[in-house]
Amino acid sequence: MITVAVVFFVLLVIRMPLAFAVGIAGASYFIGSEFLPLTVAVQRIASASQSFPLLALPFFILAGQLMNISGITSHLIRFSQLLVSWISGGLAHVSIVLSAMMGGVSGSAVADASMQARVLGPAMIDSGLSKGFTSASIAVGALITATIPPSIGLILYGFMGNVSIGKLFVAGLIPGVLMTLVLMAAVYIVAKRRGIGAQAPQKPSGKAILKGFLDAKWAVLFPVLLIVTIRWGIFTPSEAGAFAVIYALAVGYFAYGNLTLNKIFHALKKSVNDIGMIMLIILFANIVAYAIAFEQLPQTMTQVLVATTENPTLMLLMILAFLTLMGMFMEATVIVLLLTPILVPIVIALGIDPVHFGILMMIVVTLGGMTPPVGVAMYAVCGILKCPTERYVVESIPLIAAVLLLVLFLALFPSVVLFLPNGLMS
Amino acid sequence: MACISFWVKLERSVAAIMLALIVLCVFFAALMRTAGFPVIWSVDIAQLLFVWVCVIGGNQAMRDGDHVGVDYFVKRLPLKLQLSIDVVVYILMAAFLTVLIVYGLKLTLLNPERELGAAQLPYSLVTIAIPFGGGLMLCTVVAQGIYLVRVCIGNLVPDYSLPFMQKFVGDNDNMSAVKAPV
Repeated sequence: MITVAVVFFVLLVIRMPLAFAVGIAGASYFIGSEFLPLTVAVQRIASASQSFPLLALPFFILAGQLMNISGITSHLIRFSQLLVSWISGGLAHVSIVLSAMMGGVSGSAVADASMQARVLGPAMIDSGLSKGFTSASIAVGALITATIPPSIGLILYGFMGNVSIGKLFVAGLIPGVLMTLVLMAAVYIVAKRRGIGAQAPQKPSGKAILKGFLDAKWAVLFPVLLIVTIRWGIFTPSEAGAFAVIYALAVGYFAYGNLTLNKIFHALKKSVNDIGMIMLIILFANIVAYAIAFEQLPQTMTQVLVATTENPTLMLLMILAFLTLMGMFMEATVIVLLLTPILVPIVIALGIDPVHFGILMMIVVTLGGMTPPVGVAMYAVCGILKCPTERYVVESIPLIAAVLLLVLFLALFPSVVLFLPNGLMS
Repeated sequence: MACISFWVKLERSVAAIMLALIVLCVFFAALMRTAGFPVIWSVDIAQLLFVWVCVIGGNQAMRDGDHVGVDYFVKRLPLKLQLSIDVVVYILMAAFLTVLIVYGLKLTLLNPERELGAAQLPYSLVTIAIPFGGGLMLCTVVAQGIYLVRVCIGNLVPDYSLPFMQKFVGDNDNMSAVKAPV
């Protein structure tokens, strides 16, 4: 197993594409073993692709593409502007609320952050927010998409850890809403201290909000429909994904009149690339997952962990601290793919609910994308807005502190996360 | 060259159509089940098509330089050295793909009777996608690898605007798993 880890890291250092680094590291385990033929490794790849829950992934990737070209995204931007730009901090709040609404759309923090940096970033800087603060609120705000369904990360966690994706989706809702509120509070406090004003002169009237809502109703209803259909068991998450694609097509075509066959075909082709890239990593990671199970790594690690402390809450906090650290150096997808098969059996043995753990894990590993040294969302946003990393780092501290406090709160009170999936889904 | 670009176009279109079919299959199955007439084969077809979209998409991502890796370390080295390191990476990838093809074919021939769910299609339609996709990717890897070797030994002037050559220029200071929509 140590050989596998060494091979993996060496290959990563020489810029081997991630999918192949994982695949070759996994194959090295089979080559070094006397009992395991390589056909089993190929068998693992083939059988991993035949998982129905995993189909949610291509569907939501495609739905995200279609949302952007169908005009749903631009309607959501207009509506969030109307809702919150009157609060001190102005467009920074718009960016955060937009992330919350887009969570049900793009499903990926990096995609969400770069889209917002392009669309909202320049306007935010023009409105008087500093470059650093603009970049920080866009990048850290995108963290909301890690938990608000449909989160791609939660699909992967559920797939690798054999945890119900439907439950994870429903469980992510409240933490996502709480994170939106906590981040808005942090932005508000910073804005008040610096005397940054609002964007809109006054609160919108009830009538204006209603009008704005009616104008954007199809876009706003999308995440609501998604949760409702999954929660009441009308659709499984994968079926909801297919439904999301059809919904985006219908809204884009009938309601907003933006779609042409050509545009749809283009979105399909672009999605195939994204799906191929991410699925190759997932399929090859299954070779390693097999090795992990074969070596009974989780069992061994549980014994070591239980020897240090038997308090599950303390253990949970220790694991989360470890994951936060890992997240700073590795990309979230990689951590979820490689560590979920190890960690899920451990937390279950410790008496922690795997749904609760999954939500927390997704938040902390995705947070690593917003911090140096390896922060994808951070680099994407700073690159687009030409913001020096140092200024980003300083401005992101209050927002990241707010997120960590929320994680601590959610870790100590599991019922906040679990009452929705457990109380409502049997 | 003309027949290669035709093949590339064909591959892209076929994969895009397959993806659309997967959506329709699952949506249709969900509708029918809700209406009280469950159809089982529809989802089986979707899952079968999915493995093909994965491997063809994997090849396209390879062709377009979309596969992500960590360039934190290599990026700090001189260009010449970067190119040589990449040749090693390509050789290793080609070796891995060869293993996939050989053992994938073995696996496919091992159990020809197994059926795929309720659709009464042979399961080997799933397994053979792995060596097939491996073959496509091997072609891409070998073609790009030969290009890199020729650049290394100096008998070719590199064109850094090619998708798979772009990692050597610019400051893509990141390791992104999900590319942002443009």
